[in-house]
Amino acid sequence: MSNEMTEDQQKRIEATLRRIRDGLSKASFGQFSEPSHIFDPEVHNGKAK
Amino acid sequence: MEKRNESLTDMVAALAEGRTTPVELAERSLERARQMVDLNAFVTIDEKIVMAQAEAAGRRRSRMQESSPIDGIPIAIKDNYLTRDYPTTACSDAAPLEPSGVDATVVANLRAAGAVIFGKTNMHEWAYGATNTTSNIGPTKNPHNKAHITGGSSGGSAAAVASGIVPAALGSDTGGSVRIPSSACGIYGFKPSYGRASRHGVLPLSWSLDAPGPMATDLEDIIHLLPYFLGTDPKDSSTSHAEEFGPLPKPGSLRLINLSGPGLERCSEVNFVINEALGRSKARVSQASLNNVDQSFAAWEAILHCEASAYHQNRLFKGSDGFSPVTRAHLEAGNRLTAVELLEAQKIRGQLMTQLLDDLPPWDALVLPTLPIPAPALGEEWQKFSNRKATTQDSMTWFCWLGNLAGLPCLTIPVGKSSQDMPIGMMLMGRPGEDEKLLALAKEIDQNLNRGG
Repeated sequence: MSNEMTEDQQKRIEATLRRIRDGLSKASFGQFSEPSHIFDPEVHNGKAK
Repeated sequence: MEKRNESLTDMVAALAEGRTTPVELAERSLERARQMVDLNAFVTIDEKIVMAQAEAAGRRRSRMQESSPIDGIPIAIKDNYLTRDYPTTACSDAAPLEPSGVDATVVANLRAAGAVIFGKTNMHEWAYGATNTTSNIGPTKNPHNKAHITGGSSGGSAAAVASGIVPAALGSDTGGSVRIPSSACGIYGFKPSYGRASRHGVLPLSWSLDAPGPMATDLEDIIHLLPYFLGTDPKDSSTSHAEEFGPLPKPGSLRLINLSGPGLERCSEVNFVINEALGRSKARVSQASLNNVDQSFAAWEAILHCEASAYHQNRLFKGSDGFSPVTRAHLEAGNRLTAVELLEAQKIRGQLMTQLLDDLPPWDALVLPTLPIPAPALGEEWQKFSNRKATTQDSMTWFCWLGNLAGLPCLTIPVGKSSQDMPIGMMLMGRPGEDEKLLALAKEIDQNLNRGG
């Protein structure tokens, strides 16, 4: 088994990470914003306008 | 392809009225599979296993002891669902090759209902891609034009249904893998709300994004099959509060929001077909755009890669030769993201859910094209549409990931054809947990669009 990455694989990894990090870095959060680690989408149902 | 294939609902009626038998249906499906072998839709079909199930169903029916209305109907299974009598490969050389002796919960439910577990379908390796071109048995071909891809990752299931081999099949959906190939092949596909359908026994891609779902010839087929998907399963903690599939409510208002704007571009042909379909839908349609689509997409991608890498850690540690080079690169990217980045992605996920579920004007369903373009030709690496240039992979997930990141129930329905005669699908997304309401609304719209209602 080879753990070495080919040049193509390295490029793919770098492009993926660049895109993700570009996107994440643009986000701004309020001081109380929290990760949705308790993933319960139905809690939003009661909040419909 | 213009004549509609026989649906599961048609078969339910034909069996109930004695116009056909499970053995006839199985023989017809096997014959069709032999005729359509060049689609490369199946990894495994064992004629003896299929016929033994059909004969058993026939005996039950002849004694008037059928297990359910679908007793004796052949259903194909994506090759990431464990099945007790077929190997499960995820179309990867890195997966186990022996039969597991275990059925995924959805497969077990269908088997208990008498469905004939017909065979295992081709898929994008480990469901880790949306083109169905990366598979250890080769790409699946689109029944509408064999020079075009099916999309994926449940591409074999879509091809098997669209070509009339089986009336319905199982898929799994992490960023659109049920809806993408369903749309590209002109059939119906449904992703349940996160937490309503058991994922037990479906090889994971990304735990918090994955959902199993049915793919079928007709919307009624989806409704027939959802009782076998939805409800609490002690083997899947995400379903601890899941309600069983209930009766569809009477369709009330049809308030649709047609989403568009930056990040949600599509080609003009798809845009025209969707707008024309909305015009015929008799729904009240308003327009809205979303903020920060690129940030939300980055969050989906971060969560996807981190969860997939975590799931595959042991395989990567032991040796990664079995993965295709592209899949290995995805997994390595997930390894290099930090815990802080993952938590930031989860914060963005919360923001997206607030935006969709709380901040938009009141809606009964959100509308997008399922795909921004019709199914591309095999071998095309890049796509251009509107002012965007994107890889074929990203073009396939262009809209669908939104439903996974927010945990919404989502449905694709066929609404038209491109100038090259390739299918175009429209996606409807409902509020989380309200799968029945989405289907009731979709039934009304489908009636207006596809049945001259």
